[in-house]
Amino acid sequence: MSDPTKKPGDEKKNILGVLKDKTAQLKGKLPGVHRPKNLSDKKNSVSNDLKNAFRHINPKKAVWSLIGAVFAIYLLTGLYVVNPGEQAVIRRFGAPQAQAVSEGLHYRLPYPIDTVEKVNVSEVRRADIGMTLPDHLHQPDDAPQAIQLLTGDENIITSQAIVHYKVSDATKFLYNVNGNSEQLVRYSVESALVQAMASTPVDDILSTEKVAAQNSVMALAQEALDRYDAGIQLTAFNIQEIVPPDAVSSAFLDVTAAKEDKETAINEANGYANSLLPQARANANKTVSDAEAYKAEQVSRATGDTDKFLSMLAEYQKNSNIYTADTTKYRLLLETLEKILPNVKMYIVDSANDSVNVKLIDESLSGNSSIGIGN
Amino acid sequence: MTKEKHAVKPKLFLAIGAVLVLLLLTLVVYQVDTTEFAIVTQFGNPVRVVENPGLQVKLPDPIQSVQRLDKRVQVYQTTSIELLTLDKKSVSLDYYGTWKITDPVTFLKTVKDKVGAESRLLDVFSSSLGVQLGKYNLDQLVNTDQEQLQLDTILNDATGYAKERAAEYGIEVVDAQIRVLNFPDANKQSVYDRMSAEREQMAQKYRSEGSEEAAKIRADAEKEQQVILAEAYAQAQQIKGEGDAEAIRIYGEAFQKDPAFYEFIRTLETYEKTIDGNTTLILPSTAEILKYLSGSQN
Repeated sequence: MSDPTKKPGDEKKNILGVLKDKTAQLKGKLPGVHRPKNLSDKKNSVSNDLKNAFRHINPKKAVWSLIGAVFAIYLLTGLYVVNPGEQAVIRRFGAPQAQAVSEGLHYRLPYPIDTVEKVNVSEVRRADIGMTLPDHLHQPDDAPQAIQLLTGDENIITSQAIVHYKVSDATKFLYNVNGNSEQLVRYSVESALVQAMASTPVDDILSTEKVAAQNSVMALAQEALDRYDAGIQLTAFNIQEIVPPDAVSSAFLDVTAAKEDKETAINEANGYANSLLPQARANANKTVSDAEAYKAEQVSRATGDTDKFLSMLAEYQKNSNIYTADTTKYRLLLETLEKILPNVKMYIVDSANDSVNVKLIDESLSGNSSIGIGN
Repeated sequence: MTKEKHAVKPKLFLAIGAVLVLLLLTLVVYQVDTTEFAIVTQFGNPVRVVENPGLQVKLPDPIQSVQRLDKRVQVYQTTSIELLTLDKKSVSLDYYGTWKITDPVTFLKTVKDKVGAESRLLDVFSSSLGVQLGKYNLDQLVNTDQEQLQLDTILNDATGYAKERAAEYGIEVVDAQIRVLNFPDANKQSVYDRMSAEREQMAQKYRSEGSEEAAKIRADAEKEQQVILAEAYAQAQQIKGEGDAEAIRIYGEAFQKDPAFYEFIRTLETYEKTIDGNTTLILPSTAEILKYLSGSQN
């Protein structure tokens, strides 16, 4: 601040001297203020020392420099840094500027003209619904409560879910809704769950419809958040658990078991059918092949028999030309009898009237087993 | 010295003057934030409402002063209320509502602040929800059939009524949402009992369906088995018949060459086959075969 090279018009003065002058001026202007005349004399030795100590400083310049420095520092307070992933919103006298500021070093007019608020817009925030995530901090009045929902068929189920969201518009997020944003997200998701469950049968939600329900809940909740113009975008919604209440869980489990029982019974029956039918087909094939064998046998036998007959006939006709037909026949008869008779019990009876009382011969021959050869 | 005084004085006056102007400015200039309405009152009477944020000017206090009201959407929540449906079933509801001030002057005159507003909204809402809910059966609150479901209608009607009433307070109701829809704790046990009974029924149904289907599969299989065997039998019989017919044809073709000789040969063959060691043959002495035994007779 010191300025050793002085302009010719400047008189060498020190700060105390200036102050004295000013005091004198003020005394002249403001009549109420009285200063004892001897004040400066009493402190003369001290003031002289101070004069000497600061004699090299030009007081006028020093004051202006000081004012300039303070003003420069004040202007410099307008510098601010927006971290990666953040957006900053500038309010000039309370009115937000249209464009949100992205990351980097920026300047705004210092307080109280411009104020800056920063929001992390890339962070994926979480809200836990129907449960408390262990690593998640909540506002004091915002602990999630266990959720019971009514399904379309008037069953009660309990549910736990997690929703992910992020800030889609920093200005809207900061200034449109008064309240805790996580609570707002939780409320809108809870309401969407109530709405979605009110039309869904309990069996569907426990099995096939979970994913569809997740999507419709997310859409409904987003709709509500858009209605509040909250600047919040839901990015994911996951039903962690959706189960019947403890009081009825065993009954629900039994239904699952019954479904499995049904499958088992059907599978067993299919197994039976699968073993029965191949067996039947095998038997059928055997029957048909047997029949084909029979057919072949009949035909072969007939062919054999007729071949034999035809050759006998040929011989017979040849012999009949040499001898007579009767003689040949008689010879064949005798040949047959020669084969048969040795094994046969034979009785020869003399009967005048061609009738024989067989009982006389053997009691056992009372049946049909007697053969008479007669003429 | 006097020369110096004249040089410093105007600058000093300027500085003091600037400070004074700034001080006076703070009396007449005020800032309106984007989150608030500013209501300028003159001796207590509202004279204008400032909706746009920024710097504004007014007459200094105590002539004109500024009151501020929150412009943002407010969220209010309720504790559970128990309501009766048309079919006299009781349900418990939790809801939250969102609202904002649209007419700050009316708001200021009628309800004054947020607490006053929310207590009135609560009254309006709970009574209109009660009225609406009383018009519908429980199965219109929850139903698997979307056409039967009236939950939206109920909420819209209740919100519509609340909107009308809230307008009297300079408030716009943005929406109201049911957060919890459940049976009251006192009724839950009977609901659980009903649920269990339904589940038992369902389990039984699955099991009997299982045995029914299994029996059907078995019966079908057995039937098919019978069909397969019967068809095979028919086919076999046909094949056998063909065999027999073929044999008969072969025999016939051969034997018609000399039927008498065939008859003779067949008879001999029959003797050969049927007469064995167990056969007793009784021949009259006059039999042809014995004619040479009794020689003289012929």
